[in-house]
Amino acid sequence: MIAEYVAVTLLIFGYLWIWWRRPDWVLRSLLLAALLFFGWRCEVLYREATTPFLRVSLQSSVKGQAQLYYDKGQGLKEIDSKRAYVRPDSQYQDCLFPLPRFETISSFRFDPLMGSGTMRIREMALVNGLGHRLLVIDHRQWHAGHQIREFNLQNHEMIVVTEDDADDPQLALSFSPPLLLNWSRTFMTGAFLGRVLLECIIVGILTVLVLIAIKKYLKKSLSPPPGVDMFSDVLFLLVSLFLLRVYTRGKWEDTVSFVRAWLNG
Amino acid sequence: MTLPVWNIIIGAAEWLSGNIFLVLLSLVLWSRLRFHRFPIDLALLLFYFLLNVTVFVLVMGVSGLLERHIITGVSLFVSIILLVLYRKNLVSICREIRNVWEDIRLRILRHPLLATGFIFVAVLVGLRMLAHVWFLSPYVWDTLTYHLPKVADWVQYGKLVALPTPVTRSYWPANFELVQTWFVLFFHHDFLIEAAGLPFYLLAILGVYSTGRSLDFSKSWSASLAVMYGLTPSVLMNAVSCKNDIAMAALYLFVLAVMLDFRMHGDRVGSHAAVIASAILMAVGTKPYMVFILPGLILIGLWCYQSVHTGINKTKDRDNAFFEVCFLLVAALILGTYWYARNYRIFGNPFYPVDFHLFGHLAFGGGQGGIQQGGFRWESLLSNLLDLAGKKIFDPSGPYDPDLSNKSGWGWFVFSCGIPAFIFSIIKGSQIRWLIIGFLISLASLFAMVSPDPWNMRFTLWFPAVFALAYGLMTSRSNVKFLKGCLILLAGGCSALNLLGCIGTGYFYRSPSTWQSQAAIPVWERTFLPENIKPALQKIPPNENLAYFARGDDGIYPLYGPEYTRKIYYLKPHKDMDIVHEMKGRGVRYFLLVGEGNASWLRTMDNEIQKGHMRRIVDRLYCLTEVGLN
Repeated sequence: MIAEYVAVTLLIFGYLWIWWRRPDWVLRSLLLAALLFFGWRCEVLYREATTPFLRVSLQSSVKGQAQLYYDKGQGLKEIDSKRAYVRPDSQYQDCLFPLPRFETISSFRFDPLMGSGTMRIREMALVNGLGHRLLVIDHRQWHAGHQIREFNLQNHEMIVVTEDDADDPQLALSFSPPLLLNWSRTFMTGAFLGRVLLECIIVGILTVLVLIAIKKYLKKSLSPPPGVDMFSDVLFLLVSLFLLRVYTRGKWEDTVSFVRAWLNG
Repeated sequence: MTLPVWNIIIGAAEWLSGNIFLVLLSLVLWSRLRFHRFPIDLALLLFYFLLNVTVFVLVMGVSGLLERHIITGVSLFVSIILLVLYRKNLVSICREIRNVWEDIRLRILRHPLLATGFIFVAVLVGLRMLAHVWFLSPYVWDTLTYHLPKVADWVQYGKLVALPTPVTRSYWPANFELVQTWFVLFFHHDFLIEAAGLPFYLLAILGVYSTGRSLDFSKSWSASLAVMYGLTPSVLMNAVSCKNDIAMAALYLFVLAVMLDFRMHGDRVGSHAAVIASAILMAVGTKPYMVFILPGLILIGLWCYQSVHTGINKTKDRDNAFFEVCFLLVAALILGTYWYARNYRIFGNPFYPVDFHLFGHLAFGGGQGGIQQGGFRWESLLSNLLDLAGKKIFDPSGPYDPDLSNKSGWGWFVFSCGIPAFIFSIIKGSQIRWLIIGFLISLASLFAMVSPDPWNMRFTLWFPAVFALAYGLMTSRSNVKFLKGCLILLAGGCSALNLLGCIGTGYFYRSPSTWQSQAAIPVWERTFLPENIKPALQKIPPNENLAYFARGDDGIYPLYGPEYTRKIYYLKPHKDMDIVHEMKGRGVRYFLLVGEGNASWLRTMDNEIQKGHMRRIVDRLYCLTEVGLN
């Protein structure tokens, strides 16, 4: 932990040192842009790392669609479901069903096909957006429901055969206690750190390349352009007004609610 | 129920005598140990007063002398001694204060428009605070659960007792609760208890003002920035909420102000260091997260020290202030360590109820985890930062409230003016760049040490000060009058909206009708009764003691009554418990199940009712029968 802390602290201070010791506004701006871009990428990666998916590794005899319903405690709804296309193949294919972050799920309903056919399911697991396995669902937890003719467990596989005239076959699974889809405290896996490191290196290399290109080809225009101070003042005001607009949208009603209620008696 | 007039008069007189003693003591200390510059000296005087209040209550409480008449006697006696010993010093200080007041008066006359504006804002804020203190009894969940019950116990027992409680958080450091005790002890009533946060609120504002002056902003501009900070919703809401985070913000900003004063003037190294150390120690005894936000302050301190050594003057400390420095440091050391030492003595863990980890190893605690993280976690840092940037900064979940549930409470000004100023200052504002980095390191360190939960932004009340300072720098640098005017107008409008959004309280009393119903209750009877125990509490005579069972998250403070007339006893369930015997042993007849009574309790009560030992009065409330009493 100390080594990590020292490394990150040195990185930040090194960064800031370059920034301030060099009176080169191009370098500063470029570093700031790179920092912002990298920060944004970290945020995206964090979202991926904390977004759960149900990954179904399956083999199907027919072409069709699989659909997963998740119950957030308010019953099963079409809006709380996700679909994935299934192709007939002798190889196993992975179908990913995105799930909501930070929600509590009380049950799943899995519709393997929209018609008749056979499906072999090798694994059902919750994974994050980076493919890291979060939780493996035991096949024995599933129950055959509507329009399922056969439901067998063989060699760690789940074999599902739907009825001949099936149009909405269903498998069901209940979680007791309900499953909380929150992995915000355990997202820092090897996959995540690897991606962050890789992107850090890429951003660093790109920054250096762009800097070299600017230094080489735009040498004359490296001094700050005239009027940059006034420009930054205008920019400051514009950004402030924009942010005011953003905040007003969400907060105006809350802010004036007391006075409004007072005026309305 | 009425609080007799004579009781108020005597209580007020005793409180006044206590305050006179502490003001005199603070003035004596101040006359020997200060910086001889107006804004920071004023903040310093207020800090001395708060430190003296805290340490006085602590000493009296530990000695078992926390009783209003004893305190009044001690105060009067020591006041006379101080007046005799330091008469000349005190007269000279009074003259100085009069001169400062004259100076302020002249400035008001010289800038009538600006002064009117400041006075107008001060009156509005003052009215808002007064309304909250007077019309509302404490209502915030964690103050009812574990902050204020301690105060009630201390007042009832006349000493700093640590009674059995279902809430393990009750054992956390409690310097702020000592100040709250000062506001209730003399009246034996909690009608002023929310006001305990106001001196800290003032200290925070003075800290920002002084920092502004140390950054070379003009007096009026520094005052404007301090007002903008003071109108930040999270700060405003917490000033009179009975929560202790306002004290942390005040002490952080005070330390910052002292550091920057040193950087500006480069004199009296020893005095600055002693004051900084004592403020930090006092904060550590208020809430342990001072340690988490300390790295940023250390960085700023190093920057100040380094900047000063690139030049400027070297006025030495007063040689004869040694005794005062010792007094200050010893008092602060007691305040900073007492609670930890007590917990170590009782539980073998100074940080009880939190397990404390050092370098990945469990240093203190049972290893079962705790309510707080008690260690450093990268995951928490990132999660908290993203939570702030992606959600809480927008203050999305309803009106501002003191708990800052799922919101930052940084408000209109920070969001629209503060954030761009902050970013521009990093790029352009070399003057405050290290200050910004210090604040960021404090924030990052805090985020890495606290669990990601919806309410943790209450730990960051000090942070919006940097937005105000950054805005001050960026706007003062603007050369285009029109743009500058627009920016000032925008900031003024945003601050006004902040104040507007803080009239109510967020969750309870958030509409005028709830205030009207609250105002209809006589002030002596006002207490926040949760709906689930309201009928039961109304059935118990005010002076009747009470046994109760509650879980760790039930608000038990209302059980004491606003006058603290009722002693309450927590009955911790255990095997073979004989409830009737336990109640008789404590001399109580009533038993209340606070919160949701669990099944075993209900079974126990049914058994006792069947045996004829107890009877049920209303839902959750039981009483020993004559059979039970015999």
